[in-house]
Order: sequence, then structure tokens, then C-alpha cells
Amino acid sequence: MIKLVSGDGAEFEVEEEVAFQSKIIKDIVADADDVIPLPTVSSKVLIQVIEYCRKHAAVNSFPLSPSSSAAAAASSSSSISYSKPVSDPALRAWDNEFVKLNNSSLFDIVIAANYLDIEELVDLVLETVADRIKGKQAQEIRRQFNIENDFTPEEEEALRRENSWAFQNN
Amino acid sequence: MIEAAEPENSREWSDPEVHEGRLGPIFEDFAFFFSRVLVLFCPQSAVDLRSFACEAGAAGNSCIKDLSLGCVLFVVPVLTKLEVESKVREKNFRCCGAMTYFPDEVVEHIFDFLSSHRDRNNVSTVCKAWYLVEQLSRLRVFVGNCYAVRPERVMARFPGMKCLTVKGKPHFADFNLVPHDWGGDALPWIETAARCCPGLEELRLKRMVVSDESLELLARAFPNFKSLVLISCEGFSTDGLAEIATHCRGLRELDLQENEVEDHGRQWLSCFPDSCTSLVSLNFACLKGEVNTSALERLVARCQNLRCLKLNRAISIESLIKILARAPNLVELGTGSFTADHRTEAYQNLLNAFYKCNSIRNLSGFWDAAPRYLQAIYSICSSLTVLNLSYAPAIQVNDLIKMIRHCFKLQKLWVLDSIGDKGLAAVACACKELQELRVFPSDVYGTGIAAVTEEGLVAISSGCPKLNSLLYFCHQMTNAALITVAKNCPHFTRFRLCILDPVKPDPISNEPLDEGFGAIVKSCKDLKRLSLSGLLTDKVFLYIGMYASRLEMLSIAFAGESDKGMVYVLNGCKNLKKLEIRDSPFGDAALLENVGKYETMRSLWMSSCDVTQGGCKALAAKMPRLNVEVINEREESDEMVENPSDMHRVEKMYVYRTLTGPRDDAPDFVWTF
Repeated sequence: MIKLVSGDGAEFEVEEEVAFQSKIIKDIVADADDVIPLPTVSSKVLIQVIEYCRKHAAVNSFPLSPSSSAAAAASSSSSISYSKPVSDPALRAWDNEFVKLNNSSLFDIVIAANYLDIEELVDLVLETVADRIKGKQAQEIRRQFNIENDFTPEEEEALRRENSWAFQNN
Repeated sequence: MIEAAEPENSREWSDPEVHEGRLGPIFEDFAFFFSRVLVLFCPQSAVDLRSFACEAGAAGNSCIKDLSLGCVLFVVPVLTKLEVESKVREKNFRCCGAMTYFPDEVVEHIFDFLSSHRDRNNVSTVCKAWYLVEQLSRLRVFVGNCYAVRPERVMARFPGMKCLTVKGKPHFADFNLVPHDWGGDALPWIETAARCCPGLEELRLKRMVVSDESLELLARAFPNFKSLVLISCEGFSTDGLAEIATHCRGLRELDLQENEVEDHGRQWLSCFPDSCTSLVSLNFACLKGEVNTSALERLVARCQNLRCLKLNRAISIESLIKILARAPNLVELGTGSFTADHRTEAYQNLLNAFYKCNSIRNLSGFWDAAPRYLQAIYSICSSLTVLNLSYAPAIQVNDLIKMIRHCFKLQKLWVLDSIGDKGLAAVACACKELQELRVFPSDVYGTGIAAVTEEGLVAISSGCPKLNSLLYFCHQMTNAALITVAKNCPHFTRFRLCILDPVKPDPISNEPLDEGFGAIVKSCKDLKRLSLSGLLTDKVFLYIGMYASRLEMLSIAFAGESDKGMVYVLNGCKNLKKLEIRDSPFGDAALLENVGKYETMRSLWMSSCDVTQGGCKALAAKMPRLNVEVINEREESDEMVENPSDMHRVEKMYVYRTLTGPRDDAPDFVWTF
């Protein structure tokens, strides 16, 4: 068992295969200790991340091939890249339920997942964010994600015109 | 790694003191909470260390260990018993809700999931940071009109582009309404890409002039080039294709659809080097000339990933049999002539060959199909989803019906109108999954034989409830039939009905077809493309303006009574992108009624209408960002130059919005106002 300690001091004991969904934790444990403080992760977020890891560890424990995380761990961990989409339809459905959260919660999770290097969870959350962007105009996206518009009205108009006059396919 | 904190604070981490674990006195209050902490972080990330610092506070015992991953491991004092202080938590976690703090690579990763040009365009206008991330990460670029933007600007904005699509001439070029030397040259695009985007891998051109010189440059300039798709292009020969074959070592796709290619002999196919094994898709169905079949057979044999192969008419059944034996994994096949050079044992061999190619889903070709060979494909008919018989005039109706009965999974069917209403009834019975039907004229100039009529269309609409796309050339149509079709198939996104006999009314009631087309636009809420024909008054345009709110492209020929018709459309169809009109009584009043509209559309084409030179001038004067071009090919043009009259009716007018002003390659007969 591995003990994870959230930034606000809550302790969570999880099985190795759950914690090892995070490549970072796997590396730490291989190197040192089994009490792992995660000062940037709040207990609220850590609970969610553990829930995700637990589910995926359970499904991945019957893999047909070596888990993708092992393969990915072999490659460089510094750049963000595509991972294979989750193929198991039941797991995919579970993932879809898991990300039914507000943007703020999703961001907290993706920050934690990125920090812990859980590639599949990063992909899942960022794809969900992308789905919330799809079909929306810039103004709606700014409002939804609390982003400040730093274009001047003239710049924005010129850009909008170039996009729709030159680069739009319908 | 993600930075969840204010970026300006991250600079403090360059302070070497931090790395030595000697943090400021303000953290010492927390020191008693800690005994040992393990924090792992990537060097470029500041937040982890900062958060750690907040909580770990002061402290000795730190050691830094270099891991092979390129990360740094800190072992430092850690909390054993932590009093939960909401203030500390707030400080550490409060920034997480705003995307502004996401670093570029995370934003780029989000954009990786956005594939549509519209979404990419929208995110690029959100803020400057997103613009930059999007600009550098856009791999697929679409240019809907080669004269709306300069290639230099496209390449400067998207230097990392790997796939470029450019469209040239207006759509009516397909009906020979645009002169050959009108423009739309691909060379400036390829030259600029060669200079600015050497990483280009895919090029898709539609209705452009592609010279052999362009193909030669293309073949040599892009070391990773993988895919060339040319649709309705002209200006090149098999010599240009030989260049592509010779130099594009990693070519995966060569797709030539409906191009006019000058034939300089059969050797181009043998230019693929022996090392070329990468082809996934090869379509040369539009080539007229002979082909080196043994080179083709060798090429097919060594390209194990070949999934799409569309042969031209020069390929006989004997060659087809040899090719199929070497490509058992084909998914798409264009059969070639489908007739045998000699009366041989071909039938049995063909039967065996198709029996083994059971992954074929998409079948076309059959130029000279001999009826006795058609049965050989029955073994794969039940798995076909796409069948294109629009090049197969030799197939008799009864043979076709026998074949169609096996094709119960068809989603897309293209046929000639020789299929007749009887054949369409067979389709309606067998093909319950059909989504797209195109019926082409076999005899455009009309011998008066009503090959397909409203009867066939009604049968299809009642038998194929999933039908959403139609192109239907026929000799007559009735309102009653259109009303029934509208009721049966409300999911049409494309509805193009071409009654070959212009201004032909409903043959039963002798009424215009306004009500029929009106029913289509009322019923089909998702209609994006509509082509009208038959006798039509302004009323049909009233219906279109009122109901076709998602319409993007409208083609009008020989329709309407007055300017009002066109005005209804311009004022009504909010999403209209392309409007093309020929031989209709719309003049300057209609053209100038709603000039702002043209900046929301990609283009407007009007030929043989009532627009005058004065109207074009007025439009150009009011809307400086539009290029108002007139094509004047007639002899009297000399006289017009000497004596230009605003009252003069223009033969062809093409209007489009542009970011670059008048084009500099217009031939003499194209005047830009």
C-alpha cells in the first residue's frame, strides 16, 4: 500500500497498481518512500484522481497487451502527446460520467493529473475541455473559461475577417 | 508541467537560495508541521517548488537527486501532523479555475482535439496567447478561394502546416461556363509553400490549373510529401505525374479525380522506384491513355498497405485479375474497363479473384462492362457500401437490377439514368441503408426518352428513409412527387434536382414547381445545398428565403420572374455562402439590394442574367473589399473597350470577398471593377 498525502493534509492509502497510474509516483516509489506528499493537490481533487486511477487500474489489470502507460513511460515524459483513446466502451462510458464536472473542477483535475503524469487522465480532461469549445464563438469561449480579450477591436475584426474569408470551409 | 500560479511569481524560482532550501523567514512559522517531504518536479515548472516552499517552509536536510528522467528530486522536511488552514489552501489552489494560467503546451494539447477549421478559427480569436498557440499548431489549412488571400500570407501565418487545401475556379466551371485560361494557377501556392513550409505533406487542389512545372516543383521541394489529391484540375500531363512518381519517395496517396490530363504515354507508372512501397491509395481513373500494366502489377505487389486502387479504362479484365491477386486487402476498387481483351477463361479467374478480395467496400469503374462478367462481383456485393456505376453505360437495366439486389448495405449509389424508374424501384427495395443517390444523365442532349421520372424518385424516398443527399437528373418532375419526397425524407442536407428540359412545368398540372421545392425547404431543416430546375416563379424564392435557414449553397438556372426572387434569397438565407445563378431575370436592382450580404458569402456567380456593367461598377464602388469580375469572351468586347456603356449587359459576373484586392493574374477577358 502507498500513502498519498494531499496538500491539506488528508491521507489516502491506495494499492500500488492504483497509485502507479501516475508515472511520477511510480518513479518516486521505485526510488524512495511509500509515503507521498502531494502538496499542490487538494484532498478534494486527490479523491477524484484516486477514483479515476482505481477504476482504470481495475480495468487495466486484465489487459490484453502490456498497459499503455508502461509503454508511454519508456518514452519521454516531458512533452504532451496523444495517447491511445480508451477502447473499452464501458470504461469510456465511465470516463464520460467522470468528467461531468464544471470547468473549474476539470482544471483542478488536469493540473493534478499533469503534475502526477497520468497521461490518460490529462487527455480525457483536455478532450472534454475541447468538446466544450467546439461550435462556440470566441466571445462564448472567453466567457465560459474566464479569459480576457486582449485584442483591440480593430485587431479582432481583422482577424475574424481573415479567418472567415480565407480559412473557413463553410 | 502545469503552472497553476500567477506567472509573474514564477521568476522567484531562479533564485538559487530556493534550491538550497533556505526560504524566507515568512515560511518558518509552518516549519514545525513538517518532518519529511518528497517533491518531484520538472525543471521548467515553478509551481511545484513554490507550493512546496509554502508548506515545507524553512528547512535543512534537503538533498537534490538527479533522476534519469531529467527531473529533480527533492527530499526535505515533511509534515507529519498538519493543521488544516484554509488560508494556506486558498493561497495554493485559488488560481485553478482560469484557463489564462494554462501554459502554451496545455492549450496546444486542447487544440489537438479541435479538428474543424471553424473551431480552430474561433479559438484563434479568443486572445493573443491562443492566437499564437493556434497559429503554430495548425496542421491542416483550408483556403476556399485562392484569390481571397495570398499564399504568402497563408504560409506566414501557418508555418507548421502539413496539409493544404486550395480551391480555384467557381463551381460553374464544371459546366464549361468558365474559360480555360481564366486563372486559378496552383504554381504560386506551391512555390510559396516550397519557400516557407518545406514540411508540407499533403496538397489538395480543386478546380485549379496545375502545370507540369508545378508538379515538378512539388515533387522535389517537400522531402516528406505524402499525399496529392487533384479534383477537377487541368493543365498537366503524365510527365508531371512521372515527376511525382519518381521523386516523392514516401508517397501514400495519389488521387486524381475528374482531371483533364494530357497523355504523354504509358511510362509514368514505371517511374515509381522499386523502393516505393508506401502507397495506400492510387486513383488514376480519369487518365485516358494506356498504362504500363506490368509496372502497375509490380507496384501493387510491393505496396502491401494499398487499400484504394482506381484503375482507368485502359485496364482490361485480364490485368484486373492479376492486380487483384496481388492486392487482396483492397477496400476501394475502380475496376477499369471490365471487359476482356480476348475470349478466355477470364470469367472463372475473375470470380475467384473477387472471392478472395472480400474487404472491398467501395466499387467503381465498369466503363465497358460486359454483362457476362458482372456476376463475378456478386460475392462482394453484400458488403459494398459505395457503388459508382456512373461511368458504366454498357450495363443493361436487368443486369443492374440483379446486381443491386445483392447490395443491401449500400449507403452511396451513383448511376446513370438508364437505370430507369424500374431500376430505382429495385434500389428502393434492396438498399435500406442508402444515404446518397446520384443519377446522372446518359444522354445530356435529350432524345426525349424519359429515363427516370418523378416515379423513381418517389419510390426511392419511400424505400430509403435514411436518404440525405440527392443529385437527380431527369426529364420531368411533379409537385405532388416533391411533396411526397419531402415528407418521406426530411433529412436531406443536399438536394440537387436537374430537370434537363429548362423551364418545364409540372406535366400533370402544368403549374410551376414552386410548391414542390417549397415543400422540400419547409420539410428539410438541415438543407445545406440546393439546386433548382424546372419552371419556377419568384414564389419558390420566397419559400427558400423563408425556410432554408441553414442553406449554404444555392444553384439557380432558368428560374424566377423578377428581381424580387433573388432579393428573397439574399435577405432570407442567413447562412448562404455560395450563390450561383444562370439564365435568370435578375438585374442590377437585385444585385444592389443587399450589398453587405456579399461580405458574408464566399462568392456570387451570375451569368446570362440582367446585370449590367453599371451595376457591377456600383457594387464595386460600394464594397471595396469585393472583387467584382466580369468575364467577356465575345467578339464585341473590343467595341466595348472603346465604347464602354454602363447599360451593357454583362455575360458573366463573378463576385467574391478578398483580403488582397484585385488579382494580378487576370487574363485580358477578365475585367475587375
